Amino acid sequence: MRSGPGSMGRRLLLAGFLLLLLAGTAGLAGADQFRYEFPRSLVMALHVGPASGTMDLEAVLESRLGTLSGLELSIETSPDWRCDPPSARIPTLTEGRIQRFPLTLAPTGARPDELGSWVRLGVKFSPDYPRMLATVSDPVAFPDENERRRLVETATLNQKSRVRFTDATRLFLPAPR
Amino acid sequence: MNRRLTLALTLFGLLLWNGAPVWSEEPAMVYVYKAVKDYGRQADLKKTLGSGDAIEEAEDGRNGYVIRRVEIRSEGHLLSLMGVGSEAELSDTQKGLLEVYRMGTSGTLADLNRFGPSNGRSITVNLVDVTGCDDRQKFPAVREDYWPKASKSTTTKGNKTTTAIDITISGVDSQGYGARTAREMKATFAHEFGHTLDQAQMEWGAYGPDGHHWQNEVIGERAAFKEGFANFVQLLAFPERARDYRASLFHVQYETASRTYNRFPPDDAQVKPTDLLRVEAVTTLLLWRFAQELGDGREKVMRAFQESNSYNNSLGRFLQTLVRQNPGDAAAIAKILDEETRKRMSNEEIRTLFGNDPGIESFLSGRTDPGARRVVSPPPADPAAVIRADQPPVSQPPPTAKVRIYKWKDKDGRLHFTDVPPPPDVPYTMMAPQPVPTVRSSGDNPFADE
Repeated sequence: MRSGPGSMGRRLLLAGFLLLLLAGTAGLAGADQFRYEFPRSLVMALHVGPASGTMDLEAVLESRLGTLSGLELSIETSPDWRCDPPSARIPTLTEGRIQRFPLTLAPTGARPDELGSWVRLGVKFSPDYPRMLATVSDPVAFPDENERRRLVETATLNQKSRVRFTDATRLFLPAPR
Repeated sequence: MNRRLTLALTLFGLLLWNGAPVWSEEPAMVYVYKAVKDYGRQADLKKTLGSGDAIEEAEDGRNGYVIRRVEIRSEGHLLSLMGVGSEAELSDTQKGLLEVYRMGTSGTLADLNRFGPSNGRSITVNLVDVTGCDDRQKFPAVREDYWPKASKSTTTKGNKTTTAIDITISGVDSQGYGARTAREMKATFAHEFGHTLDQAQMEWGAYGPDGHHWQNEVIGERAAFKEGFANFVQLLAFPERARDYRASLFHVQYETASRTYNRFPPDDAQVKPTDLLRVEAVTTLLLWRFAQELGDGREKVMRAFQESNSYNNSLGRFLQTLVRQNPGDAAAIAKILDEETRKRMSNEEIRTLFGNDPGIESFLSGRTDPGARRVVSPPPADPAAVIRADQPPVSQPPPTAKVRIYKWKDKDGRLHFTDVPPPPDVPYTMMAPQPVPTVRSSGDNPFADE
């Protein structure tokens, strides 16, 4: 392969090709296959407070489907931040109740990683399977029998295996000054 | 358009400075991690864009996402990008991204590339991490914008064709599956990979007014074959899913002009037998049964696909190729087709589908199915262009009607709620009529986060 710019004639030729290229470029994306989604069990977020030396964050968790149990929280950060506390436990989280708890970040002096600066909150929990099954079994809310069956079977298998769910949220921060 | 322009300018720049690249038949596959960091109006995002970040346009054209795009070097690198030190700390969806990466780089699907077109394919697999995008107020359209897809851009210069393919996998379609999320995401990836082998262009408006498709929906002929083939590739990796496609054919459905659906058992007289060939679950099971029941069937299906693969490929074109390449299997192929169309197609319809073939004629001569001698009207000049969505069967309930729910138990004692009657001789209880929810998109669910 040659390197470096080509001749003016070649550039003109390629400029002409560009027009052809623009005309011939065609986007084709497969359309969405319809799938029912599970109702979400847990919604969580990290909110940033005022940035001055240390940084205050607030972690917010809310159950959207029944009572969640055995929530194990862990916090990871990019190398330029340290978080306190690094972990927490919540025995149960009832539907509609919003659990908030503060986190304190302090700069470490290290550089951010290749994604920048961030805080990640990970949660392991047991969903409310009876509530989940009752919800996805509703033929009015989920009228397509095949899709409904798929959700019911999946939830039933997970319930039998006592599968714990894992979820996470991540907040990207401005680099510490 | 901005993405196309960017792609075009990038390609142009490469050609200008480096000359034409050397093409290979095996597509290069690159795995890219994309962290979604923020969402908002593009103009606002540009003001605070950090170094190394980029804005990716949302489907609405006004808003955009701040993303960080990093080419993945290894599994360890991907774990680090997702913000964890070990696999055990990953969320269910992130575990899915890792498993897709493993599947793609392990060569599970690579064997199929030899049946792909020689169109200078290069494939970029975008593993989009939407962790932190749970807040629907802040990220209202993330599910729609990062729905799994395979998109292509094809260019031709002289006799050289290049095709840049982007696969997007994010897990937005697989949330709530717990430990099964990763398997769902891998199955989706296999389906999208199947699309990368395919050159067919589906009909305009093939999916009907809502732009979405169900496994059991009557859609455009080419679209049904295209989706059926992608599903078939998925089944090669996840054969247990054949049961799901079979189960979905409990009924077939027609979309109406007002984006509601009318459902009928596949044996219902209102369902034309040839309409079944425009249902992706039917085409999926046809290809799957050919692969399972013909000797060396997988190879035969893929070779016929390879030869018939073209802009206007269809089930008919594929079947004719399959029979021509394997004349000794003609009767078995026709038998499978006959069974999957509930033995309702007439001899004339089967003959039209396969063309003149002695093996098919031999099968037809011995056929005693009730519909065999049925006389059908001549097909329209271009059957593929006809979308049934605007021609719903005549006796269906109106789109705004309430549906009846049938409650019944199957032979195994499992309770069913269905909007079509149970099989004959099964007692049922009819529940009060229920309003039909309007289905606007795949994400339209009364339990979706607000």
